[in-house]
Amino acid sequence: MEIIEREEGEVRVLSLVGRLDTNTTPDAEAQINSVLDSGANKLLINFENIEYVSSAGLRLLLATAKRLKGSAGELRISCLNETVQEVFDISGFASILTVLATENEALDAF
Amino acid sequence: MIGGQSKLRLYWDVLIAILAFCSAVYVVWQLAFFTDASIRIWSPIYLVDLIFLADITANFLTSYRDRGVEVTDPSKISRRYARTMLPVDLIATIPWELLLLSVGGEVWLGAPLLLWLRLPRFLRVVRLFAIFRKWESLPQVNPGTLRVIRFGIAAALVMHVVACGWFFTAAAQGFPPGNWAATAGIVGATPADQYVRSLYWTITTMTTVGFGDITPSRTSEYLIAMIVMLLGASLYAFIVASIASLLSSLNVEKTRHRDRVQSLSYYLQQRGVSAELNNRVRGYYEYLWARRRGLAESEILSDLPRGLQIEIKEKLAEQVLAQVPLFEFCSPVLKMELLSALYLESYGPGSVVANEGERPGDIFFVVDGTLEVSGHDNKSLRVQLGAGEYFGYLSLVLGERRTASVTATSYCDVMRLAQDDYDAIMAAYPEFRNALKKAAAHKTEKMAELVLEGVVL
Repeated sequence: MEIIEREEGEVRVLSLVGRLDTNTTPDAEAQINSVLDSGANKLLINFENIEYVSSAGLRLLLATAKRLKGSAGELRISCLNETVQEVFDISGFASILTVLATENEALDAF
Repeated sequence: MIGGQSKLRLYWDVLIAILAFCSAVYVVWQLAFFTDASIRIWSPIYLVDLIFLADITANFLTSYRDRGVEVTDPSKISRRYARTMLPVDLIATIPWELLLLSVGGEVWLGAPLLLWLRLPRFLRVVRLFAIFRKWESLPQVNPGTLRVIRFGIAAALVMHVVACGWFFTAAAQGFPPGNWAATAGIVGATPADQYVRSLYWTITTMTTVGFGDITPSRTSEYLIAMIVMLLGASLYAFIVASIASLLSSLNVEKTRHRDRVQSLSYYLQQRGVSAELNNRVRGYYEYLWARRRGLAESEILSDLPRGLQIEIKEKLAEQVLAQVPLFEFCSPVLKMELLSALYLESYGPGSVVANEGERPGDIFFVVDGTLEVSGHDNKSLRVQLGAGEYFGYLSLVLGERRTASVTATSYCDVMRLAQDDYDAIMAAYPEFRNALKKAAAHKTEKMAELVLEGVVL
């Protein structure tokens, strides 16, 4: 999986490409931890190019949200496709994680 | 119009049944013991006649069920009544003895004609048994118990008639010398004593006991005794067999359930299953009996049309509907669809409801009891699921195998939605996804903690 990192003001934006599953989650986790360890506490993860999220991916997002909450930080998620949106809806995690339709909306939400 | 199965009609039928029985007993008694052989307008017998007259009127206004449909058309009700019970009711209600007002007092076969003319009231027993037949179809009545009562009443009436008839053989001839009543020393006794002795003879003869203290001594008495003995022998055998059959049918479900448990227990024992597991199986069946009288819901309801099944399931699932937020967000049509797809299962303590490693499949709604989530190697995660909660949807939507087991820690009732039904409902009702989303928002904290532990249910 490819991970593109950039900064938008105080917000660190990570754009994921591919699948967030058991195989690719460790890399994503390492990158996210690296970002958070560098002191960033506003993180936006863009799912525009993610076709599938597994339980491992959900676990990563929840753990990230929990860590950021603990340090008064914020996590936003944007651009879920229909399949991934369904997973978030039915699991109920759309109400725990802040999910926005577009990247701009997500950036404005900070 | 009076509802045929309404409470008013039920209470009225109880009154009529009691009066019918009392009438039948009284008219036979008075004929045998020559009591009340005069016409008194305010006599209770005529008051009861008025009540039966009111019953005839009520019957013209009472609906009935024909092939499951309640018929309220007055002309149909009248035709049906006229064809069935009306002739008997009229004969039993008209005070025929009032004709004596014009013909004067007469005696026939040793008894006042007036008392003979009161005898048609005995036909009210036909109404009595018709009421019992009607009550057999009432849901709140145990048919077995009703049959026992009906049988007891029939036996009592037969014995009463025979006892009165036996006394009448002596009384109608004016207690001739050597008759049984004279031999028994009850000629001058009170009617109550005379009746008790007559009944005593009846029962000892019909039950084939025959102490021999009261015996026939005249030809007519011998003839009657022979008839009663033959009648009694047949009736006695019938009584014993019927009571045995009735008592065993009183609790046929319990008997069937017990037989099933015993067969299974024996089988497990023969196959070397441990006593502990055998006991758990027995315990489960005891729970099943306590909760549902051993009946499998799917079997019991399978004969009913779908609409009626759903109505019943809705009633039975009231607790689930009230506690599971999901149904709150479903339209009536979607709720109906879900209820028709859900089926009820019961689990005993220690039984696994969902296994770790299972392919994604069904969704479970907890109706009653508690379940525990355990991770790899049965390590308890100290997460419990109780009434109103549901699980199984995460592995279904992710398409991943379950990573934990769910085990009952008490006796549980769980409603299961199979994956095929879930897929079909999801395809047919897009609103189902919204309902799931809204419902999931209520319990995300617990599920989020489970996911963080690596649990996918």
